[in-house]
Amino acid sequence: MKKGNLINIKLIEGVALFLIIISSVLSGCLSENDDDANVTLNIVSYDALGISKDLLDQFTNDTGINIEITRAGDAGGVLSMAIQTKNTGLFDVSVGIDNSYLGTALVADIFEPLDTNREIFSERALSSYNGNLAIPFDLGSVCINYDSNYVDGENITVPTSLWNFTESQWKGKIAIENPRTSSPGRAFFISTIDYFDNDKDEETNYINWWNNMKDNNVIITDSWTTAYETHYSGGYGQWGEGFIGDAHAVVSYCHSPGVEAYYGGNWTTSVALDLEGASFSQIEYISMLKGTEKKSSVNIFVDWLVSYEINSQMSTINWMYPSIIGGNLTETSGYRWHSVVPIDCEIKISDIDENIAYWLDEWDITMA
Amino acid sequence: MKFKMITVLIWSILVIGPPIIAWRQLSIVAEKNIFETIIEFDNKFQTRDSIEFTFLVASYSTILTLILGVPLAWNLGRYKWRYGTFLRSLFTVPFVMPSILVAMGFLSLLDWFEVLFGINDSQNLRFYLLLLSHAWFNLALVVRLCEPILSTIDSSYEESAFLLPMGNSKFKRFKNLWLPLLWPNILASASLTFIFSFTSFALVKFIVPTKRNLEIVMSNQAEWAGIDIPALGQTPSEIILASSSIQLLTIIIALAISSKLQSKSFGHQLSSLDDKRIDVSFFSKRGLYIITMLILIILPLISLILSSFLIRNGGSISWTTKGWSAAFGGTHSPTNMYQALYSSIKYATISIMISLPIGFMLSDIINQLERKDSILAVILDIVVMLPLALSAVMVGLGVLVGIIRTDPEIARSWWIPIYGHIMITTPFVVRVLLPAMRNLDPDLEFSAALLGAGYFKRLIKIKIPILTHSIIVSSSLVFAISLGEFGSSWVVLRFTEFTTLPVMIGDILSRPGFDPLVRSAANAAGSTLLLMTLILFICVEKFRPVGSGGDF
Repeated sequence: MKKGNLINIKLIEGVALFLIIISSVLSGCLSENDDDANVTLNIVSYDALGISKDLLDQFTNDTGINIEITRAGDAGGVLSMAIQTKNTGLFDVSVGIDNSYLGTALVADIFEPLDTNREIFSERALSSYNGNLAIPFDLGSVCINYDSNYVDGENITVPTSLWNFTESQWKGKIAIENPRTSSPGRAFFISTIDYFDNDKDEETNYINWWNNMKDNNVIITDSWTTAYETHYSGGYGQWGEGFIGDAHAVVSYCHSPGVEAYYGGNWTTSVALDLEGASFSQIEYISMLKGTEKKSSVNIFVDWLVSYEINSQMSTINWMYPSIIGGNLTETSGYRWHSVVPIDCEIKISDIDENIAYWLDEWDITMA
Repeated sequence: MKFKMITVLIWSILVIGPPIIAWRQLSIVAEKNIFETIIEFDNKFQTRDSIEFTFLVASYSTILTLILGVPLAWNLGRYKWRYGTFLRSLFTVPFVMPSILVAMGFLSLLDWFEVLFGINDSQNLRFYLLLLSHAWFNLALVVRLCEPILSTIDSSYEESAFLLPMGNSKFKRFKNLWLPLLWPNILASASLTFIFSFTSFALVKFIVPTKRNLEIVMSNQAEWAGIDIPALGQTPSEIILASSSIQLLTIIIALAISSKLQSKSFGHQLSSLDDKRIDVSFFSKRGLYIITMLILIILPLISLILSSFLIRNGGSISWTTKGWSAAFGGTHSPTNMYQALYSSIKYATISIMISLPIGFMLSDIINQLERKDSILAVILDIVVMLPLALSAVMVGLGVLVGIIRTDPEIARSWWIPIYGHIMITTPFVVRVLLPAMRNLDPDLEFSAALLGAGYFKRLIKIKIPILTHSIIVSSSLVFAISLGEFGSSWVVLRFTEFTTLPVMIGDILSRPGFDPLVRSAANAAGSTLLLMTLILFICVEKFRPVGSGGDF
């Protein structure tokens, strides 16, 4: 054998050995601990889930179950990820699929039944779905919020109908999230369908309203963050970078003014519009995903999340209403006082699942 | 030779594999071919005017970058400045900053301008700010591509030009000496700037939130694209199929132009490796210009650092270090800054260990193909740069579908995020090493080969020692880009245990900002990243000798 070739072989052997050692060391450093004593629950959730690391550590200390959270955008992202990874065992739990998506999730057959006692939940929490495939862990209504500085300062009448927002005083002054890209946007969009189906006017429907809103220069944003932080004049966005403040009304939660007050020392100019049927009661669910082999641990985690100790604090943990009987928003700093509980629209999750694609396509054409 | 072929093959599979899987999946769900989806593209609310906007922003940003960058490269390349190392580091740092932080920096700057000068925020102002932020981001490309030639040009060329009729005025010298020398590098930097502005995401999303470019259109539709439920997946799949095709075609053309021009700049090389720069003081017209540019560069960075100490308190703003405490304590994120920093450094180190040898090998192959004047050199160069052109949405979808079809558990492997880091850093290794290799005398290798030295011996005894400086520079670049990269966005799944510093910043910013600490905690994490990157570049700049350090 030639000397050059011998050197090459030795060098390749050396490099290979080096790589093996390095990868072994790194594998040791980085790979997951497979100790059977420590179960790890893999959860897929939306980005904004507020359950803190401290709280999860507390759960792990109490139960020995580790929690690993993967963020997947918003509620739609969670459902999409759950569908794509169905039966793979990659995720054990989904957190945050809401009732606007639940019909689709049930049709997609991605959930396993849970053992949770459903008698602990409020009537409102079970209003969309009362089965054991999806357990409500928090809720809140999505509606229009307005800046009282604008309404009071300009002496504008508080809207009593969604049609008021098509009038000149609101021209270019309301920000609404795109229903295709935002969960609150989708929730509000669904409420407009029901609102105009059930109002006294038989001649018009949601498409007419959206069309008029388009003519009235409604600001459509791709996310709640852009609508609320960047455009809305009555929210915390005014203290942050890139604030525009050109919208004096925005689609958000009916308890958003309460959260503003909670962090603002009982001060806010934001008010939720209490308009019957023009809001959507968004209920967020936790579910066990098909393919999991950790059913017992999943049930322990779900029971922990809906326990009184944790669930009753949901207004400060996840900025939503608790789902259990007796749960409410905290009264600290005017949180509850500034929040509104409206009469929400009533629309079945099966209707949403059957029609949402058609509704969204119609909306797309109207707004284009 | 086999080893080189295997490297090319593996790289091509890694780059092209996921998008092909994604395209196939999207085509199945969309039930339309690419041409149909492109024809119907502009009819929807979700996509309306996005093509026009994308091209407009990319073109204007490129022009502005050249207007600002070429004089800067001239002044840095032709003149010797006190603290020159620090200056060059500062002008390079923007390029490796996470764009989400740059957006925050520029937006806070806008607020300061509003307070100090009464400039009102408007859609037009934001559009110009977007162009400026793109120029800010890409200035380093122009400087790094043009400065080496300027700093090493033999002064006798200019002296000769002075004596000739064709060079007896500034304009004539520019036209007959500098332009022929510099145009390939200027246009190459323009092509790259166009690509980065074309695929810009965070800057567009945050600075002009009412507008959409193709990258944002795709990101908006990513959730349901490829999902085999027609009612949900069909329209998003159509949109992504069309957007990604338009984007890919445009960028491949830009990359081909860039690659061809950069290889041409090799042919025009008149420079030596000696420093030919002229001493100049900051107390001069040129000094004033450099200081102005310096202010432009550092203002958004300072603004970002200041914001990390600002917090709203009821109806006012106050100064505090609570944001830093929240970032280090991890009270507003799934992980704390210590863990995120550890993960970032770990992945950046591994990226160097993998990207560097792959990039070295690919540069070597391209260099050899160029010497044979083979069209394969341009093709391979495009394949090397392709990861910068592919949408994260396409790659993410392809990786996810690929993993699920093979073994879903792979998704949890610690090495999966490295894939994203390698894809995004290797092109830059090539951009640094390739020009340095072009400057190597091929006779050195031929002589060594004639004397019986094999490939690896020539590599270790000749190439690596000569290219040491460029290797160090490319390593630092890999490290910095890896540190600032949302690598996991490439693979869709964001597991907490793999959270790096930029991902942690993204996590914090994705929370509603009702809690005043949220934004300042994100800014604190961003400031840490910024300072780390700056220190790294200042340290490494000492290894980058004038003119020989390659493109970047």
